[in-house]
Amino acid sequence: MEQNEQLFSFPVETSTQRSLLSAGSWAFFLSILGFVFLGLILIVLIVAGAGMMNAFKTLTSIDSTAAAGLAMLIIFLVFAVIAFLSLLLFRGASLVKRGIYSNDQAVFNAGLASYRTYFIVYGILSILSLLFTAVDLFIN
Amino acid sequence: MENQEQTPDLFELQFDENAKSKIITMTKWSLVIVITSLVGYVLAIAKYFKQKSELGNLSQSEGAEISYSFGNTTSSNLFSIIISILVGLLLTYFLYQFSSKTKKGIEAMSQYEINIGFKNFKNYFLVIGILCILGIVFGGFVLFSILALYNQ
Repeated sequence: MEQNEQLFSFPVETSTQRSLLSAGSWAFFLSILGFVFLGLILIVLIVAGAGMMNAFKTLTSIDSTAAAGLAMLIIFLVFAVIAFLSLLLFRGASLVKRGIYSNDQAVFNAGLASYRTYFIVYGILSILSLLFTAVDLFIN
Repeated sequence: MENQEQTPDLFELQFDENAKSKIITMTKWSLVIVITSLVGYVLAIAKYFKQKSELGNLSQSEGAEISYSFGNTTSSNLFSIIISILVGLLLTYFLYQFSSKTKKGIEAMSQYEINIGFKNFKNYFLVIGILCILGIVFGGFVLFSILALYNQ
């Protein structure tokens, strides 16, 4: 069984490793930007949360409890999606890097799994975004 | 002797069955992102022309002044849409290349195709990173300009 797996496996060449490391550095940078952005959202919410809630209430003309609930839900969803994507990028980048430097197959595969989940979540989000755009264009 | 030649492979990082299945899933979803992005660009252009025709009808009924300001707004909108689509197309191209080359490489066990695929994977993140840096610099510039105007 192991021999079979060896037969169908092939080494990760140095050039591919270099590309993965470089992609990892940029993915790491993007994940840090994501975390910083989340921090900024938190600061803005703490500083100007009440004012924003009032503006949202006036714009949507919904009563205060429903407006607060809706605004909180939207903010929570945006926050959760950015946090999850940033975490996946961070995990993918650091695990692939560690896997390459320590020649650890399990860690390398775990990094690839994080990248895979990142692309799945991103794909689902782009399908949803496309659906909303289509609805906005053809129905509204 | 034969054993000695095979030993380094055992400790080398491999694209084993587990890694290969994960990469194949990555390439499939990358293709989904490519297709949705392309359809999204078409819809963005359609939306622009729909809004333009709606505003055009409005300006015809309201007179020349609105028509002039409408002309300025739509041309700047068109410019920003074109720039966004061009940048998006560049990202989509890298993602498509990653998806197709890596998938082909994994299926045919071709190191050459896999190398090209992962170079495009790197380029994809590199372009997003550079765009973010440009966005931060531009955003900072705008913020400082607003603060400078506010202090005067």
